[in-house]
Amino acid sequence: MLGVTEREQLPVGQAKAGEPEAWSVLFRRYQLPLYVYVFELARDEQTSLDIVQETFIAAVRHIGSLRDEAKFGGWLFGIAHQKCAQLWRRQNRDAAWRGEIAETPPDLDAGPDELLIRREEEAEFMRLVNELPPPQRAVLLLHFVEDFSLEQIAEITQTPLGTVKSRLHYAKRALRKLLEEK
Amino acid sequence: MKTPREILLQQHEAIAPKLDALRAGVVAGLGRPPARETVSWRDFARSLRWHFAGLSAAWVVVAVLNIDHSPSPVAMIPRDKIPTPQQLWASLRESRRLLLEYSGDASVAETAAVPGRRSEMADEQAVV
Repeated sequence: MLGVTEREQLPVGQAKAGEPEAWSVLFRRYQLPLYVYVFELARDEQTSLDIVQETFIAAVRHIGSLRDEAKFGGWLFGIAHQKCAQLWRRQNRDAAWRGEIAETPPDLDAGPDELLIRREEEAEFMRLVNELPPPQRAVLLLHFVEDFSLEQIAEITQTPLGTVKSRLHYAKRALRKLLEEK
Repeated sequence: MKTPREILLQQHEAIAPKLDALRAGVVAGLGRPPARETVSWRDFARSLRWHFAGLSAAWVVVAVLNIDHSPSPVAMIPRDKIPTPQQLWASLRESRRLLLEYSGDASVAETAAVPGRRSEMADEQAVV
């Protein structure tokens, strides 16, 4: 499996210099994870493709604002996340984004690599992901799909770190509960 | 056994060709030089229409504020006190006579004050 945020050598510098081939490499690397993330939030194929395209275009346009080249992935997901949030606001469903968990964030349990799912549990896993409230779903997807750190997820979603910890904890707990029940 | 990431990516593998096309489209747009926009004078004028409207409105306000609403000095003189042309002419002659008198040339003042007949003046000029 690709190590996701494993320190890949990505041609971000060349992309900054405007080399189309470098952009092609970067987009190829992120297109599917980005689509998965957007689709699991937007739940519509065409809308998700549009958001991915807009994200790519915005990335090309604003690459100059990226200070740390190592954070390209998080920065790209941040653009996509903002576009998803805009979509939700347009659909007047942003109330769901505001549902915060007031409890003190507990220490996080096992990472994504420690969570293994059996073939017969896959459909149930997807159903559970879809049932999670959007804020928890977003955090869980960022954690699973790209293995972003909590700090990176907080930056991407523009959410306090404590809130990210809470959301991830409760999402994973719900997931475990379901898998144990099965 | 699979990781959540593997499951999630696998669920959406079928979208890969569309994503490839999308990526190719965006990357193709990178090499293209931005189209030069030619702006005609009409478009230029149209783009400034709100500026023109604003300036016009400002000038109208300035013009309105500059209208003198105070009554004119002429209008302040009562109608019955307006002198007739004869009175004005007499007053002018009197003023001229006094001016010449004060300057010491009484003879001139006398003659100037009462000019001769036009027909006589013509004869004098003819003699000279």
